[in-house]
Amino acid sequence: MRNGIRRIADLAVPGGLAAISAWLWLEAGQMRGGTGRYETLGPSFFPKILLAGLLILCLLQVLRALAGRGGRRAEEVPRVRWRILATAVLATAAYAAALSYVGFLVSTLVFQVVLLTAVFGYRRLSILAGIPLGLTAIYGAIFVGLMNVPLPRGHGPFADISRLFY
Amino acid sequence: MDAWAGLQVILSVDVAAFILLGVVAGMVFGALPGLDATTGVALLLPVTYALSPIAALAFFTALYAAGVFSGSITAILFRIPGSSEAIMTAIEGYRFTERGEAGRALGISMFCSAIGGLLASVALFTVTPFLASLALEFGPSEYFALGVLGLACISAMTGKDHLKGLTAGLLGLLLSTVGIDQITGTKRFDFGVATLLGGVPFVPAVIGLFAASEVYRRIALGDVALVRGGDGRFRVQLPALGELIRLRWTILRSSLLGLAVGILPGAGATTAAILGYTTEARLSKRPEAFGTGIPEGVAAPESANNAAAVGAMIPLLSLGIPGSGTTAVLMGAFLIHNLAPGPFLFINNRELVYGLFSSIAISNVIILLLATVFIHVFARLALLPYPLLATGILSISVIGSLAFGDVNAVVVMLAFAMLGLLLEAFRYPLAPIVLGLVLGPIVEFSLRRALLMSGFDFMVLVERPITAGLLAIAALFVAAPLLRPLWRRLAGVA
Repeated sequence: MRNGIRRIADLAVPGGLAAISAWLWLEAGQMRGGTGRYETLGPSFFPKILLAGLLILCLLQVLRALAGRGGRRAEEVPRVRWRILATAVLATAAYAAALSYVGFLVSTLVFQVVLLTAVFGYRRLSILAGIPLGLTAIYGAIFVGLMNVPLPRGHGPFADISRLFY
Repeated sequence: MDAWAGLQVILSVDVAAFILLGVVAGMVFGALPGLDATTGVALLLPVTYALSPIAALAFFTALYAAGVFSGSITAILFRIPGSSEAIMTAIEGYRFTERGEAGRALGISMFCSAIGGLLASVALFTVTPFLASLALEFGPSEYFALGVLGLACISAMTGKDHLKGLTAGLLGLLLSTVGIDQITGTKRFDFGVATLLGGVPFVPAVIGLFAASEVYRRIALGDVALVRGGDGRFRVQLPALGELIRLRWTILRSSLLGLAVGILPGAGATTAAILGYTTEARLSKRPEAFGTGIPEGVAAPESANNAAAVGAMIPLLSLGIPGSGTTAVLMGAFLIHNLAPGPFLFINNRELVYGLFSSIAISNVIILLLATVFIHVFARLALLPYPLLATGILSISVIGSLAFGDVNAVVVMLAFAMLGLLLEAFRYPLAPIVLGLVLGPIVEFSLRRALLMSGFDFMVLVERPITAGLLAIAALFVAAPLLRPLWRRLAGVA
């Protein structure tokens, strides 16, 4: 069973890359730029060379995987905590999406609390309060206070909260 | 006499104080992901308006030199390159941290950065006129050959699986084609995203590929021990004299290579660091050891990038052409103070020019003295429990990417984090991707320009001596792994 999964995994990346390369080849074919010699060495010239090379390399890897060579041994494949990984990735994506609406202060605090609880399993209040507050204050002081990098304030009441600090 | 007069100006109290301030500012900007020396120079330009020209320019050159070095601190400790010049140091230096030897890597980085910068500073005084004239000989075909030479070293970074390494390299090259085509103005692979029109934003991509993906990998595997070896204590280990002597050829080669690359307009310290690393890997008797945490892997890029930072000043001062992105912003400092960098600066303000040369050399000495303080501040963080570090790293990955661009830059960072996670899970090396990203534009546009200018005559790539020489070296690098077993067999028969 694990060997079967391993074989599929070894085919997935080169197979996926080959499919993407084929699709990008079609995209590159629609690029137009310049006339005459400028069109010959136009915008699709270099990408097509690279895509052709990628396709060849991916096909070679697929053939190698089908021949049972070059992949990982079954005992090398580690166990992955998919749910926890998905939580961390989704939390980061939500943090990035929320920044413009909720502002840097609130979104950073909430993101760090979510990471510490849902991903790393911390329950102590002193850590859940202290670390996010401390880190957010440090980052705000450095980026906004010291470097004058404008971080988002958010909208509505969140903007009002942000303006209390920066 | 001009050099002595320049040194006297620099050693006055007010100028020396600004050199010190510049080093401190550069250390902070360089170490923070999402900020770098270029950002530091741009942000602080207005602040120096009231200063004397020599004080302002000495401040910025010190900031530049320190910013290039300090990117290695977070690169080694947390695998987050503080600036793009530290990308190769992140790959190699982090392995030291995992073994509990972060102090050793940081000590090597400190010394090699300072030595690389000092050697290049000597070159500023002695070879500026000659090197400036050589840089004028570099046309598109020479730049193409230089890019190919860098790419030829991919085979040194692929480990045992060359197919996967080459795939990663081609992927990096393909990613470098995203954005507006410089020659025709056509949009390529932007998919309607405005952020991608200028190409894949490099710093968010690298933060995602190396820093964020590493955090996600550890979360996925439940691997929360940052340091697997060592006694849990931290101290910067200055390299012993014996180690420096053993690394002498690496440092010298990489410094000279970095200086040469830095002189070339548009190449920059990032390209120098990558070329320095890959060249040492190629020349090493144990190329497979690169990437596992060896001193040469830290010494090479750190010597090269600091030498390149100094080298980038040469075309700026002698020709008025910036050698890197940071020196391009630095031109603003000259203009604010009513100075025009170029040949006439040498004629009309020799004392200023030689004063700047001296300030660059002194900056590298100050970096060596102050680096230990900064390293200890950042290294205390490495002793924290990894979940707390990871929370901080992911937060600053997002904030740093946002500081570099907009929310789309954060999306790029996340996308590259997923890419890095996927590729590393299937044993694809990440370093060739970065190599392709950096060298792709140089290779593509130089080749197209060379062919357009020569009327599609490919012979231009062999008729010009510098081009032919660089391409021959690149061919040797590619052929060497294949020829080595044959050579050994022939030597055995003989």
